[in-house]
Amino acid sequence: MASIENDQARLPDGSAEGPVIDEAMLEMGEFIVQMSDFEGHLFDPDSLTSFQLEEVDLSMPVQLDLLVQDDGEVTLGSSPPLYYADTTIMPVFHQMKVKIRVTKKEMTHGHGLK
Amino acid sequence: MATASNKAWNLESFIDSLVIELDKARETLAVKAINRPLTYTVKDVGLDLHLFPTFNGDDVKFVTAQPGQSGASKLSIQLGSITDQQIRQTSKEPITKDSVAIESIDIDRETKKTLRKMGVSSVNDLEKLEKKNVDLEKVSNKKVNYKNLADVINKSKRGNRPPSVGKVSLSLSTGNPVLIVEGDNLHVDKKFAPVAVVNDKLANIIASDPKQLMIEVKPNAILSGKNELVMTLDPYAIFKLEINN
Repeated sequence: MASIENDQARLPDGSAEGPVIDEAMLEMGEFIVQMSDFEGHLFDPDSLTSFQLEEVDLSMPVQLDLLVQDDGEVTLGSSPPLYYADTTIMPVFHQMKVKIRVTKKEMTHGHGLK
Repeated sequence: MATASNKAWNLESFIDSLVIELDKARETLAVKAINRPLTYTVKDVGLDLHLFPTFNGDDVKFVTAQPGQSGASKLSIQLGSITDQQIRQTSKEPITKDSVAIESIDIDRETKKTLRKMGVSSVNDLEKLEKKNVDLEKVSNKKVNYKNLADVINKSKRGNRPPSVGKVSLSLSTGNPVLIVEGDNLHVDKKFAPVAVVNDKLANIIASDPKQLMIEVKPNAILSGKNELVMTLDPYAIFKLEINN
């Protein structure tokens, strides 16, 4: 789904806890972390060659859960496309691009290639 | 078209939320990096959104496209990472405790909006423009006039530093009796000479500063029992005290 109505979790006393995004989705920050979770080493045991990941450019369709509270504050949830079946009415896919770069090169010979 | 269940949002709130989420992602990645030989960081995040813009006469808002809706516009947002030095070079200093935000002063909505459009977010910003002799009336197409704003600003500033009286004493050591009023933020506007009236008679202020006022009165001006002292410290700070002698 592209956007759903504001939804708030209720505490036992009835007070609002704040907006809760669709359970099939992740908060945008968590989603980005999951996409950026690289070890960074590619090792081919046959040719004894190793590579180090320098940069990743991701571009992918995403579904958004955009919750707007009464004060105008926005909470963002997102996920990759949830279903792959063709349907008469397709969900709205937005496009997300993320650029991830290595920032520190600590690897030396014999380090991290056990 | 947008449905009733699909709420409109403004771009500022959306970007705020995106920035917060991006910061969270960076913090998590930084923690993960501690135990890893390679460290990765998210440099840029871009989003192409399908949405419908709406304009209510004042603000542009957006409604995200829903399944089955056609004809949506595309909005591309690109967030790049910048260094702390770049932030200092390209951002205004945050509003300090001593400054008064334009949002909090008692002026009409149209003037606030015009000031915001001109990049004025605090009274300090306005004063900087005034010092540089910027003609606000011309720049804002006669919507904003610094002189009209000055009173409201001074009132707001005074509201942030209200005067308070801690102690009033009577000194009879030299010549005429002298009322000594002690407190905080008493005489703060150097351009304005404070005025004191004791029992409906004008008194002579012989010394004044933010902490103390010395008011000389005629020998018979202070009555036994109740006495009334009215002080005007500046146009925005006038108060009445009842003194028991």
